[in-house]
Amino acid sequence: MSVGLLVVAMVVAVNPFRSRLGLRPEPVSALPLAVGVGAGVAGVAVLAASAPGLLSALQITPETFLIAGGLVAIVAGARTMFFPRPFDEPPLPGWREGMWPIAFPRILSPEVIALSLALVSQEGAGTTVAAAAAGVGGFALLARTRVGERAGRLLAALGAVAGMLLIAVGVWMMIEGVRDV
Amino acid sequence: MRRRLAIHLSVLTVGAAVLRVAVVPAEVCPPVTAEQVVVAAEAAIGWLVAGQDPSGRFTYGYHRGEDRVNPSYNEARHGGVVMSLYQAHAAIGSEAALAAADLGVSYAIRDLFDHGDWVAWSPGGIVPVGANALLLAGLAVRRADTGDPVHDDLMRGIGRFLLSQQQADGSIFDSWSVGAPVPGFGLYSTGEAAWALALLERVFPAEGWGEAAAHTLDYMATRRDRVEGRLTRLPDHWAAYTVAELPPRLRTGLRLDYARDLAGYFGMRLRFEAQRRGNGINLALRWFPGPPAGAGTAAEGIGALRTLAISEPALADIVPNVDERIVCTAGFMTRRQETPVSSAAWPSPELISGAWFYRGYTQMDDQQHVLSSLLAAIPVLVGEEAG
Repeated sequence: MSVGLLVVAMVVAVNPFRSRLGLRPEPVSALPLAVGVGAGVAGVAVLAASAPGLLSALQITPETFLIAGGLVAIVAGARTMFFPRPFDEPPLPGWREGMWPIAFPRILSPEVIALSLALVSQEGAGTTVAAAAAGVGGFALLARTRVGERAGRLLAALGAVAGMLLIAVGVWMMIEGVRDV
Repeated sequence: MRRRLAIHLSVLTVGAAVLRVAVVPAEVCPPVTAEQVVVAAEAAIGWLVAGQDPSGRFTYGYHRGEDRVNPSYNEARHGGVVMSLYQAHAAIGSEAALAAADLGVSYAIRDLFDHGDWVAWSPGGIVPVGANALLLAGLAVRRADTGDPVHDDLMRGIGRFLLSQQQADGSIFDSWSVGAPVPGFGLYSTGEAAWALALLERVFPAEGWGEAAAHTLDYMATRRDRVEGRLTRLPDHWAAYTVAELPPRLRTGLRLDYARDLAGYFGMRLRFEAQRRGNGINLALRWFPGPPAGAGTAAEGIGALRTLAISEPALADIVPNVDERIVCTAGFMTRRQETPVSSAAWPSPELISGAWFYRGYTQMDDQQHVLSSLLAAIPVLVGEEAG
């Protein structure tokens, strides 16, 4: 997997457009957003750093887990086709909004968790975290803007495109997992 | 909020559990030593030798539950067992294997057909490519191992038979009989013939055998599956042996890419096999541990590719994973082998001990393929144990 494809994979897994639709329409304040972005990226970093040990403890080869990660990506991408908007999650007050729902479940979604574990074997933990951070950065930018009706429709459409890309990434991961030794 | 959090965590937990059980069960690789693998290989040789009659024919198959020997026979499998026994002598110096293989050769050469241009084994009136190719492969392994030239003329004669079956596009018809040729392709005979020709290049260099093998290897790598009507690529361990046997001057990018693809097929097959435990929910999702010949072919294929990968810089990156698969397979296959203790309670323990069974039945090629795979694991384990 090239670094470029890894970035695409993690960005569409974070899916900034769909994730933005999962927050309230008003711009998110700087403090909770910083907390959420920090916690989300830290979560990805913990997952990526622990992936080799975790998979070893579970007696799963990284090549085989690539198949599992691909399957999660396909399911998550398909879900985006049917549910372009995430379910509303009532935010916690103040800075804690960064923990819920920004860090979880918006950033640390099942597909981000799965890909953080699965793609470490491709380009290493640092590159995986950086790729996820790119997606989270896009999400943060969108979170600072107001989302009106038209912008919401545009984000839903872009989120669906990202979902399709995520399906393609998942298919690629499954093929690669089968082809790897 | 707590309710929503609980829902999200429940979805994650259930999803992870489904993945674990259905998609990524544990790949169990029992620890194994080189010494244990040698013991297992000798036990498999023992099963083959004990079942060989004075004519050189081996016991074909055995139903454990019915205490019944399968009276059928298959010449390609005879050739394969002979070849594997010669590999065993070359790898671990088993004199019993050498004697049994020589007796197996004498069984075959009683039915030689002399065409004039070529000579070949002709059991039952036809001249099958697969059986002749594996017989030739065994003789070439023997020649390289012992230096004994006693079968040199026969080897070249069978080699010319294989060339007579090779078509302009590299494909190889699967048999010859008197009368008009009947074009047909065997599932594995093409790869078996290519490997035999590649082995001839090793023992008789500069006679053109390697180029002929490479021509058929290119056909297998690029066109075979479409021409022969398969929907998917055949994970052909004989093709792996062929590409591994080619001299460096014949290792093109296309052939090395094919080797990498084959390593991927075998790696996936062996990872999947390591997930099989044959009990509980694993049985429902992964079925029984696979037929020994199936796991064995994948392991001997990846074992053959290892000999290529460790000497070919373009494939150096796959060596660690290849070694891991070989050792893992040796670990679970030695555990799955029947022992004197596990066979003692059955009516005919001599037809059980040393063998690998699939749902109560074993066949000579089960022992052949697993034996070859274990032999490939020995140098890997020796290297690991030496640090």
